[in-house]
Amino acid sequence: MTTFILRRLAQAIPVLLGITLFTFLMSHLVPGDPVQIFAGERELSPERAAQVRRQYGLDRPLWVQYRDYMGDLARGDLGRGLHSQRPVWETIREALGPTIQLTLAGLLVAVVLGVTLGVLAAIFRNSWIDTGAMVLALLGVSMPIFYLGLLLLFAFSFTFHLFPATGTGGWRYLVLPAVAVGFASSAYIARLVRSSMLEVLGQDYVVTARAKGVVERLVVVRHALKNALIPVVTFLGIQLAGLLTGAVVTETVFSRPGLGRVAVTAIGNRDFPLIQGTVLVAAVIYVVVNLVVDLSYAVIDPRIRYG
Amino acid sequence: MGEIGGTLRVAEAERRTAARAAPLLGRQVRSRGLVEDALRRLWRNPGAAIGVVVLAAMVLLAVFAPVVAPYDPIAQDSQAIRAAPSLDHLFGADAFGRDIFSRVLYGGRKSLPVGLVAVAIAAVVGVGLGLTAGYRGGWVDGLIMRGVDLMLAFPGILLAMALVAILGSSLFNLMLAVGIASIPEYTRVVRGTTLSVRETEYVTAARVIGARDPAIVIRHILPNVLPPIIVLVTLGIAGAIILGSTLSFLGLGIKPPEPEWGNMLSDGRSMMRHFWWVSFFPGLAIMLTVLAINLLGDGLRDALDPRLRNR
Repeated sequence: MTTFILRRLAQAIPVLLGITLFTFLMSHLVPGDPVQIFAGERELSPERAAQVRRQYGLDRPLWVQYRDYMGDLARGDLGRGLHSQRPVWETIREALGPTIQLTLAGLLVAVVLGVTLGVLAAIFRNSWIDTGAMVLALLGVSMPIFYLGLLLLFAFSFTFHLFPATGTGGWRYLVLPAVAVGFASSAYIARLVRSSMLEVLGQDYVVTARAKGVVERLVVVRHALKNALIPVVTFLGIQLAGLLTGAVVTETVFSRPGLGRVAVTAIGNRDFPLIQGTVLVAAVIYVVVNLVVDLSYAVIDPRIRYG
Repeated sequence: MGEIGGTLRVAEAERRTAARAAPLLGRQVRSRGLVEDALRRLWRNPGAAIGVVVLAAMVLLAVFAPVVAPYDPIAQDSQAIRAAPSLDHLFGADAFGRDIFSRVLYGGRKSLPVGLVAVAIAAVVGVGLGLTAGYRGGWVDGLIMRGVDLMLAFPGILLAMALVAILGSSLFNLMLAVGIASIPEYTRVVRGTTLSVRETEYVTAARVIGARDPAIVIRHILPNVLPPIIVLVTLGIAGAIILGSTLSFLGLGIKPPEPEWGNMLSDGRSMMRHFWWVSFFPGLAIMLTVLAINLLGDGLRDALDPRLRNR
C-alpha cells in the first residue's frame, strides 16, 4: 500500500514540473517577440522595448528565467495581470471558490442522476425504463454543455420562473448551472453503472443473497450496488476533466464568476501572466484530483495494489 | 529479449487504456470478409443506420449550402430584425435580420471541417506516436508517454484554450488547437494495441524472415490497430465538433459575422428570453450532428467487435 502511494506520488512530480515548464514557455511560444506581449499591442520604441525586456527579465537566458519563475512560484507569486495590474494569484483565488462550488455541485448531480438511472436501467433491463434511461444518456453525451445551459435557462428561468437566470447567491442560483455541468457526466455514469450492475447481479454472491431470502431492495443496494460502484469511483476522476470543462463553459452561459471567466477574458485581452497562472492552477488542481482519486481507488479496492 | 519485466510493467501502466480498448484488442483482421461483415452488421443496426442518414444529410446540406440557402448568410435585412420563424425565414432571423436557416447551412461549412481536420491531425500524429512508442519501447516509449501524460494533465478544453492563446484565433489555428488537444487518446490506445501485437508469433516470424521495421509496423501492426482507431476517430469527430464550437461560443474560435454554429449560439445568448430561435437552431444543428456521429460510432464499435459476432 505504502509502496503504491509513494510510487504514485513520485509519478506526479515530473508531470507537475512539465506543467510549470509548459506554462512558463507559453509566452515564449507565441510567434514574435515576447516583449510585444508584455508591453501590450501598441507600437514600441526601441528604448521602451529594452525597458520592458529588463523589467520582465526577458534579456536573460531562458533557463535563468525559468529558474526565477520557479522561485516565484515557490513563493506563491504568479506575477501581475497586464490588464488589471493586480496580482494574478489574487484574481485566481477569488475565482477558484465559485468554480469549485459549481464543479462539486455538478459532480453531485452527475452521481445522483447517473447512479439512479443506471441502477433503474439495470434492474428493469430491456423495459421501457431501460430504453428511456439509455436514450437520455445518449442525449446527454451528444448535447453541448452551453446548449443545454441555454435550454435550461429558457425553460426553467424565462418560461417557468423557477430559478434565477444569472448571477450568484443562494443555492437557487446553483441549480441550473449544476445540472448543465453534471448532465453529460451523469449520462456516462448511467451507462457505466448499468453495465457494471448487470455484471454484478449475475455474480454468485448475489444469487446466494437472494437464495437465503434477503429482501430484493437490500440485495440491490447492499450486495450489488456497493460492488458495482467501484469502477464508477475511478471514472469520477476521469469525469472531473469533463466537469471542470463544463464549469468553465457554464460560467459564460450563466454569467457566473469563476476560473473559466477569468481564462476566457484573459485570452481575449492576451493577458499572458493571467493566462499562464490560470492554466497552471487549473492543471495542478486536475493532477492533484486525479492523484487523490487513484489513491482512494487503492483504498476501496485492495486488488489494485497487487495488480 | 528481456521483455517479460517490461511487459508486466506496461500491463500495469496500461490498465486504463486496456479497459477502454479491451473489446478491440488482440483481434486479427480477416481481410475482405471482415469489412463486408462489419458493414452488413452496421447497416442492420437501426441506430447506426439513422446516424449515417442524418450525418449524410448534414454533410450534403453544408456542401450544397450555396444552392440550398434561400438568403446570403451575411446579408443584413432591416425589415427582418429578430423575425420569428415563418415561411419567409424558416428558422427566423437574428439581431441583424440575417436569415438563420441560411446561416446554419453555411455554419456547417465551418463546424464540420473543424471536427474532421482536427481529428485527422490528432489521429495521424497520435497513431504515429503510439506505433513508435509501442514498437520501439525503451527510452523512446518513455519519452513519448511522459509527453502524453503531460498533455493528459490538462483538461482538453484548457489545453485547446492555451493553444489558441498562443497561436491566436483563426479557423486553421482552431483546427490545430482542437487536434493537438486530442492527440494523447490515440497515442495511448495505439500503443497498448501495438505492445500486445508486437509479441505475436506472426510479427516474430516476419522479423525472422528479415522484414524491416517499417514494413512490420505498416503491414502487420497497423491493420490490428485500425479497428479501435476507426471507432475512436468517429467518436473523436463528435468531440472535436463540440470542442471547436465551444471555443467559438467562448469567442476564442471563429469570429462573427462569419457564421459558425458555436458563435451563432453565442450571438443569441443575450436574447434567449424573447428570441429563442436565434440560439435554438444552431444548437440543434450541433446536437443532431453529434448525436448522429455517436450513434454511428456505437454501431461501429459493435460491428467491429468480434465478441458480438455470433449473437
